[in-house]
Amino acid sequence: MQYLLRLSLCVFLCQACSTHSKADAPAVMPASTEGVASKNGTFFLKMDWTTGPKSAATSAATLSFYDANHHQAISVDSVAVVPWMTTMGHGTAMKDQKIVPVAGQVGHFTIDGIYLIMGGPWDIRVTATVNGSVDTATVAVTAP
Amino acid sequence: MRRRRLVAGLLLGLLLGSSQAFACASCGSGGDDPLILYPNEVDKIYVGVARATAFKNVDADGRFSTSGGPTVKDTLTLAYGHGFSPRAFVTGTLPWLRNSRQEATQTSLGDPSLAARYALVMASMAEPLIPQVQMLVGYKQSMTHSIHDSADLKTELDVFGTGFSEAKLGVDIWFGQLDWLAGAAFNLIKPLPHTYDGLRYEPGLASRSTLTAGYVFSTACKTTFGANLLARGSLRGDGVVQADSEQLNHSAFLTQDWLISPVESWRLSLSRQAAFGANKNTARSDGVSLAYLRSW
Ligand SMILES: [Cu+2]
Repeated sequence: MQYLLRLSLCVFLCQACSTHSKADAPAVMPASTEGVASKNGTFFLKMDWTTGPKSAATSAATLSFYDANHHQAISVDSVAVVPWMTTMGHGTAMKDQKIVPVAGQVGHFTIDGIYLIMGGPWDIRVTATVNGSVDTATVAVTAP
Repeated sequence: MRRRRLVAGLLLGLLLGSSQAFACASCGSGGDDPLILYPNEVDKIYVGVARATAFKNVDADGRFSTSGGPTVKDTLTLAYGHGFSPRAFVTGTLPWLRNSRQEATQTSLGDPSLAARYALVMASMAEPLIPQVQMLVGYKQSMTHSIHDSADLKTELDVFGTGFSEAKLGVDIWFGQLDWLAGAAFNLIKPLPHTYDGLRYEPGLASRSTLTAGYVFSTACKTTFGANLLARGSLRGDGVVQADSEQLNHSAFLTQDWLISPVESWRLSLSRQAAFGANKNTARSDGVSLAYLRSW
């Protein structure tokens, strides 16, 4: 629960994305897509690193949200990303993070300024609100 | 011959690198207590400077990665010890720390600690093969910032402690009556749980085992070297065991003592954390320290 409290501090509100046109969006997730289901099965998340993951430097990624059952792109009302080093029990600096919806693509975001303060295994906790349900998917990544 | 051995020992130490010295209790810095009193000493002070560099993280599989944070950690340690009898003494230790990364530095008082030792078995020249056996208790109060409440996680310049107070209980065995020295110490360390940001952290019970050997070249010159194993159980967050969070750190040290008068000495130590063997969820670093000790 306290993770959610922490998350609530850094939630990026994206009211606009539900109104985006679906015309340009990859509405159905490609069959080969690797991703993770959220804890309560609210969504399926694909995270692709466009820069990094690096340690003690900023990295960037794209986040794509799909319906957990049908793998259709879904509209997302808010997104928060919290990198957490589970083995050591600490987070990282988050003030440089910028999460921006991709215009014309439902459920797609870019995230810049992910700062992993050290190398090693990180759990990237992505919390999103979908149709009023808040749920979290955890993407494991190792920074060099 | 002796001089050649000393030089070889020092070279070995330089190769091993170093951090804060973790020599055996009876020869100087048992675990984290830098100050040990001999039976005839009533009051004693320790003033030491130490520098740790070359930090690397070691993950759960023993792989090295970027440590982030400060690249140099300097410590000024002040310690005072008082003997109540030839068998019993207490010490208090207060570190002052400086973290540096590129041009930026930050300083802070570190976590103060208290320790007490009692000799169950006293060593004697008459029976040099009977070791000194000491029981020890200690407590370290967490006061400074840790990674769990840092105000600047990007540089970690304000991270000076672990964030947890610790109590410890140990035994220390020391053969110190012959030219060859040998010792073994075992400490059980119980960190106290603490809540940060609404999450209750419970670091696992830890143990520090130390093996030490050494040689007395003359009354004025003594070299000791050895290894520590710090092993810690899993971290719990709100009672839930965090997967793969146990720690292991095999460190090595080399310590050179020079007695400059019957009551004064200098001590140079080299050490390396995560130096050999299996290491897990810990950090590699090299350290060097120089200390002045005086007794009354
Ligand atoms: Cu970490």
